[in-house]
Amino acid sequence: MDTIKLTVHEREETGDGPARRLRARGMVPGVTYGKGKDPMAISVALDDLKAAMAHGHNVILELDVVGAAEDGKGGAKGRAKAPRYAVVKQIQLHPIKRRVLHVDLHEVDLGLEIEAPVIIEAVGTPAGVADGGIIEWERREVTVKARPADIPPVLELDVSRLHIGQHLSVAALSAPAGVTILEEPDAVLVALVPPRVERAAAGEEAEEGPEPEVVGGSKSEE
Amino acid sequence: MTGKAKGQTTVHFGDYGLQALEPGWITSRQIEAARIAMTRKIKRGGKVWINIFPDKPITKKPAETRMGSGKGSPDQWVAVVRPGRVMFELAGVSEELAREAIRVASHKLPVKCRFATREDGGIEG
Repeated sequence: MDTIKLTVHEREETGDGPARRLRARGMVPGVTYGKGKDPMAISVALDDLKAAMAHGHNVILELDVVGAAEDGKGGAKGRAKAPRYAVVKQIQLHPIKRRVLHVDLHEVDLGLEIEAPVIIEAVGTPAGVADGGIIEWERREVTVKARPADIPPVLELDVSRLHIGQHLSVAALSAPAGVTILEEPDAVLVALVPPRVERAAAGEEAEEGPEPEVVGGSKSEE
Repeated sequence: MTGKAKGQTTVHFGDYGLQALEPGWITSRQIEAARIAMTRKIKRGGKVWINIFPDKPITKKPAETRMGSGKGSPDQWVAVVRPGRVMFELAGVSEELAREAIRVASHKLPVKCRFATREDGGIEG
């Protein structure tokens, strides 16, 4: 896992209005918290956060905390003591504009194990795709326990030998040294399902070949 | 209707999605019309998820009826949709075909929509 430096500013004002004004200035409101550490309201420059997240989801952030008293006064900026390390716990996005609204940073001790989600990356094309099989992901990430530096950015899963009707479970994942996968070994990750035939409603045109499978649906007409 | 969608604002199950940009009531007929339009466009393969369900009954009094005499009878069922909600999802097809299927499906719905992808869940540039 990479370590990226991130400057965060301690903030005193909280609430909707101050948060909105921060966002207008290109900053993102956030919070840091961690085991045995006091939570702290912070703000971080959006560009800095984007640059840090460009390295992947699981990056260790070395926090350079600028105290609220020193920030913006123009005087000698007293940087707060030793650097603190954190991982991104959650990023809240605007549902439509996709702007970053808020960031949660989880302060970690580099020597202690933490739990973190890791994305599963499929390697190869399943053999059954040639027969019309469709990849169906049951879960796209697994929770692992490891020291922050050992958490991999992704876990690779070889799907090339998958035929229609077969599936791969957590047991098929190989975790790097020092990483424990906290999921049931028989939990299904990905399956290759056949394209299912949907019953054609009366009066509908008969389509050639199987129609796409539909999950969920609407209440039948009264 | 006020507010934005609180959940299901990103593509969860498939690779592509149809996201509402306006609030509205989607009737069961509109959902079915959108589904049929989408599945016909895809023709074969692929998988479609419908993430909304019309669980709100809408009543209506018969035409040319005087006011009073109680509430009307259920006329239709609708799904309440707020901006940001991913209503349909697609997987197992090319992005080009998914865009086309989503486009024809959006024409069956009474709200402004857009094409969404799984990658949209990340930070926008």
